[in-house]
Amino acid sequence: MKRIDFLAIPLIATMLLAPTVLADDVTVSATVSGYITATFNYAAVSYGSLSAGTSNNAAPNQLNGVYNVTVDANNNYKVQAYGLNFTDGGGHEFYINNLKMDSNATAGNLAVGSAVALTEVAQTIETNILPAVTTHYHGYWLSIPAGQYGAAYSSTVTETYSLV
Amino acid sequence: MRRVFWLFIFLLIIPTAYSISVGVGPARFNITEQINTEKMIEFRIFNTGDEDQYFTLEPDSKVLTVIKQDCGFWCNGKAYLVKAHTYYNNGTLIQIILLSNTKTYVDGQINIFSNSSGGGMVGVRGSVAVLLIARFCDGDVCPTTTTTSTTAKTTAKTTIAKATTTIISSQTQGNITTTTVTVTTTIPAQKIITVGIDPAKVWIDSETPLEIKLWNDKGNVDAIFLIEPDLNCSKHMAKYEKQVVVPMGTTHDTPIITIIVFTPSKDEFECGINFIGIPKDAEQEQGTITMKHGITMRVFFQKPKEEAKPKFNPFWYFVVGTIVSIIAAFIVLVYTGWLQF
Repeated sequence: MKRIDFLAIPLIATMLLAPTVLADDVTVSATVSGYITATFNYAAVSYGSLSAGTSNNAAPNQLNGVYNVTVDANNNYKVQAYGLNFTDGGGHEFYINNLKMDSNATAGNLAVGSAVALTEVAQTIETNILPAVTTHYHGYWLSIPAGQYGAAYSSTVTETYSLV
Repeated sequence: MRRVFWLFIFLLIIPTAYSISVGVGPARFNITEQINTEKMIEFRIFNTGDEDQYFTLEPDSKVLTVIKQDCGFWCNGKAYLVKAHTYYNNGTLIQIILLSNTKTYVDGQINIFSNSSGGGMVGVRGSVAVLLIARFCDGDVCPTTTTTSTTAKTTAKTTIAKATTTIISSQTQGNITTTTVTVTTTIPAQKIITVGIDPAKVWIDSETPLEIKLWNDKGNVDAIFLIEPDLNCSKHMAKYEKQVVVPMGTTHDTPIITIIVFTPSKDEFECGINFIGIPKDAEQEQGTITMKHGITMRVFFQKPKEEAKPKFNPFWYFVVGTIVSIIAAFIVLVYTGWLQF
């Protein structure tokens, strides 16, 4: 009887412990990379003549949707923009924060009230945009400081889309 | 006494003196873009004088041919009330629509007249004027001021003219021959590019070359993608191309591949790499605001992983587990008295 115990008990213990050491789970994982593609349908905004001391001059024809970008992504995304100060190349300038930008899926809904003043570092114009093929219409409002020297000013604005 | 009386009467019949001071801003529209759709120009007439005043706008014969007569905006004889004590930022807003269905070059002005003229033998009408310089196109066909048959540059949205046609016609009347030179310019379609990248979000924990797909599927011209990392990313990019040509028609499934070799970082942080798209072989379109468009790839640097431990064969797990179990059971049984020799 003692001999049986001698064999049986270790065997039972082995059967209990063996599954724990044999349970070697195989994890299968795959990462779907995020992509984003944007088709840019304008490359410049021309204002023409503006008066010094005027505020929030809307870019020409923006309510007609002339400044637009079509974006396709497989993840939520955002749009950011930054710019350089306006300069005439002759030593006169005014700050880029005189330019405001808005983005909307409907051109007619562009509004200065929801626009963001640009700076020299990236500002988020719109974020957490759902992934679908969407055309975004952009609006710009430019203010000219009172007494600004009369000349032709220009700036470069960089606008980028990225996943969030 | 009688002289004083007549002087008093004379003073009564002289109208009270008042002042009108007319101004306009902006006073010059030099429209560099070619106009092929209806376009509105806006300016304000202001009056820093003491009395409200009506004004009329009288375009010269050149401008008259390119503005729309719509009394909601402007029509011949329409009077505009301009309040006293106004300035360029709060004067009366004037909106004028420029026509689209015309093909001409205009360099003219719109005169602004007060409706009251000075009295006396000769009425004098003081005025200010708005200058208008613009080029009107009929669709893609635009007039140009150049008379050469070579290509013409323009700062308009569609940068470079592809083809120019020169038509010369002569007409003889009596002994006078009149030669007319007409130059038309065909403007290419707007240059559109797509910037597509995959992956647009990456995690880096080791020195591994990363393949990035680039494409330009909806563009109508080839594009150059400028790869511009921010300062944090650039410190950990051992190798990359600063610009890549991405032909139009490339897609997510038929992309151009570029490789970036990252060096790992001991710290965790996020940085960004801009892929700025510009049309290849084309001038950058200029305007008050010149746009640079692109996609930002977000890069997350993570601490390098520890080296993986060597893997054991499951068979040896079983063998070792069995031996350990037997020894443990043996010890337990001996100490509890269940097993006696």
